[in-house]
Amino acid sequence: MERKGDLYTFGFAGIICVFCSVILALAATGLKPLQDQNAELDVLVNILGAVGHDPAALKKEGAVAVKEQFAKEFQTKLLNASNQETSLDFMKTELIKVGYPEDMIDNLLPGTLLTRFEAKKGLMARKAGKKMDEYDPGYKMVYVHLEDGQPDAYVIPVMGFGLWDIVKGYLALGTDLNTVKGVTFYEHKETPGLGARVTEQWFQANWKGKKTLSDGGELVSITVAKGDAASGVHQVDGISGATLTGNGINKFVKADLMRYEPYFKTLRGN
Amino acid sequence: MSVAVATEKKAAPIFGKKERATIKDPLWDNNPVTLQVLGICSALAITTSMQPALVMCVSLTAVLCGSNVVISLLRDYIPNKIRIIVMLSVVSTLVILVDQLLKAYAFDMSKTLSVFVGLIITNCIVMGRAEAFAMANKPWPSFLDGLGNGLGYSIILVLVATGREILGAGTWFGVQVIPQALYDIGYSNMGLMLLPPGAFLLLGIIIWIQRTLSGKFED
Repeated sequence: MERKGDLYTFGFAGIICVFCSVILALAATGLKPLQDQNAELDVLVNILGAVGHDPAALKKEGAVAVKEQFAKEFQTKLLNASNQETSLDFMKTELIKVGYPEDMIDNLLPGTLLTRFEAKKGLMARKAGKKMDEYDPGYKMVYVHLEDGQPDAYVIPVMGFGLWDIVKGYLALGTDLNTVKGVTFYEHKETPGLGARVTEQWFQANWKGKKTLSDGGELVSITVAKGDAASGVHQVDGISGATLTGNGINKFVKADLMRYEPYFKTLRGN
Repeated sequence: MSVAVATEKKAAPIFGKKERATIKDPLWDNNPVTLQVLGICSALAITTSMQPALVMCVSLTAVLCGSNVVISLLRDYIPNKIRIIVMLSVVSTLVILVDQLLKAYAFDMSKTLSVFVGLIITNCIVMGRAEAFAMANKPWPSFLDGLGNGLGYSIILVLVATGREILGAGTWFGVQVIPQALYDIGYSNMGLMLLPPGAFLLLGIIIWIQRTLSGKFED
């Protein structure tokens, strides 16, 4: 066949495009359930990791064991905008309205349910004929870690921009809701070898024992700092070459702590 | 015509001298990293420890073999005007496949490698071999060429990663190799090795030694 004609060139390009797309579409849909399972397991492992379990050891035990351990150790609470504990029903019905199959919704963990809900919030608001800020129920998740049936730590998700993209993590606070029990950062797209080192053990270990409140009880959060400044109770030692990732963390950890502060105040009052 | 094909087949056995050379050449004499200085970016980035380095090697070798074979099969049909973008499409498709497979079957590893799996697409070795070799050769030699270059890249990566992990963290594949006794008498890990400059230093030394030994230099 004539290889120089424009028609041939267009035809060839078209065939390659279609062929590649079909292969990728098949792979993406075929592997999605497995990938979702991995991501969900990763979240549980990180919540458990925030209160001091070894993530590597947990992963070795497998998905079933991790789910069981999580259910045994944690009580999951969904809070509404006025910090009252609320049920998952509203999210479920709204998700079904936008086309999620009912049996799938029932199998989702509360945290995953909230993630899906947050992702579709814009669409749902439009369907309900409301503006976004009117519609947004302002839900947030708290994972209460139980020791002999008594709360012993409160784990909250922290999430926001690092340098390149969203960094996700979990922060565990002790029962005084002031002292950090542990932190994990897991999902991120930071520069490997620099910002990506937020996932490393030594960096996360630095957070333990740091305080989020000043002596007067005001929220000051915790910041990533350099050198000698890192010895304070509100500072952790930063990563060389990853100042901007650190700045991002400073910002979103504080923002998330502020979001939960009203709820924590009520808990401290008791 | 049929005679010509027959003699050509006879002249090209599956593992003849030429085929062995296709694999062996990029391992040493014409190593893609140390001699052609290709694929440096990933060689620096994921060599802080052995495990991600090894997974990267396997992924790159798989993509390289796959892309070389596909390009070689298509070489008589690819219109010359759009050959680069066709190669790029084939390579990207393979890389995304590898990425998806890692996410499904080796989730933690895919997190460690993060953007570098995607960056295999722009790894100069892959495009370089497609353009320089696969476009002009039959599928089998192209496969061998991909294997050879993938292994050549892997050898260097493994060397760099071994140096960095042992010097920087005192471990190899995550297992402690520097005895505690040494730490007790004041030895400490060399943090510099875990930072990018450590990789530059090691890679420079490896290139120096390799070029001195092989006696091949750039003019």
